[in-house]
Amino acid sequence: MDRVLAERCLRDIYVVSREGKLIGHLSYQKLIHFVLAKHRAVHTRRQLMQRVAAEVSEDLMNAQVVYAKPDEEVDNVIDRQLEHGIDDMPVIDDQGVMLGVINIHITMKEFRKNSKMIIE
Amino acid sequence: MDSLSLITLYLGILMLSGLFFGLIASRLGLPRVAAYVIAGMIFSPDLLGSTLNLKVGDWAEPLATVALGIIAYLIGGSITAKQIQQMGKTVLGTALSESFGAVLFVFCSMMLLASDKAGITTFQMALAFAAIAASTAPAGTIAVLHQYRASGPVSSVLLGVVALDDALGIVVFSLVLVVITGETLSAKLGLAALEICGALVLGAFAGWGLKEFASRIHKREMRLPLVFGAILLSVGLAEIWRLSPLLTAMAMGFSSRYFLGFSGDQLVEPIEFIEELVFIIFFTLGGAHFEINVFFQHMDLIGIYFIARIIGKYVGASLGAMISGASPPVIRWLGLGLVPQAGVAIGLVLTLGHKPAFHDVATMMVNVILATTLLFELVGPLAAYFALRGAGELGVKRKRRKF
Repeated sequence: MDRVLAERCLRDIYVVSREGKLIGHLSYQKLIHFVLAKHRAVHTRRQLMQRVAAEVSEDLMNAQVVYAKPDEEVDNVIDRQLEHGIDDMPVIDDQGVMLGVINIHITMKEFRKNSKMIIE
Repeated sequence: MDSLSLITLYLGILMLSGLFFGLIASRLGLPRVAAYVIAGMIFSPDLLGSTLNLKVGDWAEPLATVALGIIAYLIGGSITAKQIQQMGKTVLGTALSESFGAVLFVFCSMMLLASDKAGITTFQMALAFAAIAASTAPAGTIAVLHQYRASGPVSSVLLGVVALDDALGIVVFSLVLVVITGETLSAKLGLAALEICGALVLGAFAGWGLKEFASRIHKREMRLPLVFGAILLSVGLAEIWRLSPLLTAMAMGFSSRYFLGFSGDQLVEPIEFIEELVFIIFFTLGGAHFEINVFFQHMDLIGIYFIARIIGKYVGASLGAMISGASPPVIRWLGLGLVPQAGVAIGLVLTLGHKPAFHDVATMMVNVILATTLLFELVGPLAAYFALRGAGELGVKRKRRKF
């Protein structure tokens, strides 16, 4: 949690195997819910069970991760970020090894830069 | 005004009044479910319902079935097999024992103290009430744990037990329902196996189908209609094939999460968004069944059920904790934290009322459970407070935030 809070704009957490392959995604919201569960009076049943029984990141992560490829166009990346309602998207290579994470703030900046270049 | 317009008007009135009362209850730190029930009671035929020519009729049955199906799906979808394993023998053993304790005490008390009612034998009535007694509502207990920053062994075990209790309540109810609505004993047992196994198979198949569709749907906003439609379809099929719709929905929730693995939350989250809407409709409709004279005529049953369930929960929890090797504070205090009972109980009694064997006594049973639900929701948090105080697990009380 301290590492997440120390990051400037990266918020979600990505779970990787020992070989560095991306295997899951743990959203910032879910992590906050879990950490603060004992300080909140309202839970869904699912959150209550997680509060009682979750022990490792695997218990909270989502294995269906939306990702981008290194050579993918910015337009497509933004489109997927908006469609799935996510701000952070991991970038993986052809073997599924995680290379980095791209934030919507950065993709928007890039998109605007490209748009200005096209207009000029 | 035609009857369809009246139904639409009635639903609108119930929903908005339920919402209004619920907001007031939240502000006063009272349980919202109790507020929804009271809102429904105000518009029952004995009160404002007759003035406005509003009455709950057969039209409410499919709404209640769907609402309870959604709740059962959410209960099933909230649990994974791994979580059950991680809970430990104290939580599992105590949960089973206190559920069984409540069922046994309510059944025996009703058999000994209640008299035959018109249209039903004491045995059937005792079994029916016993089946409903198992479930516990977690919200009231969690609110107390949060308000007093409680922590310790009693709090930990209590959280685990209330998390499991609704699921156990539905399983117990489904098992008993088959027995009390069947005819001969062999027919009952045969029917029991068919209804329950069939429901589990249908639920598992529906869960697998849901997972297959969900894997192909990437837009989040499409998941709600997918899951909602699947619940309607599976509950509808269960009713047509005379399987347990509650077990079917619960099995579907559990299995869809199992098949989708670590992404299983996706099939539960969309329905969680509409859970409060379902509660408002469901509990105001439940409250609208209230009848003053029925309530006063059956105060004996209200008293027997209320006291027997508390004793059963306490004794069952203590025995279960003792057998599973829990610490003395858990053995002594846990049972008092399991008193609240609300949503699932009302749903179960409404389901029971639609069965032919209980048609003549539906109003009586619904009113008894409505009354006891209000009592449990008021007394439950107090009992939980005393349990945690007795166990020495209360922390500094939080200040309630002002709106």
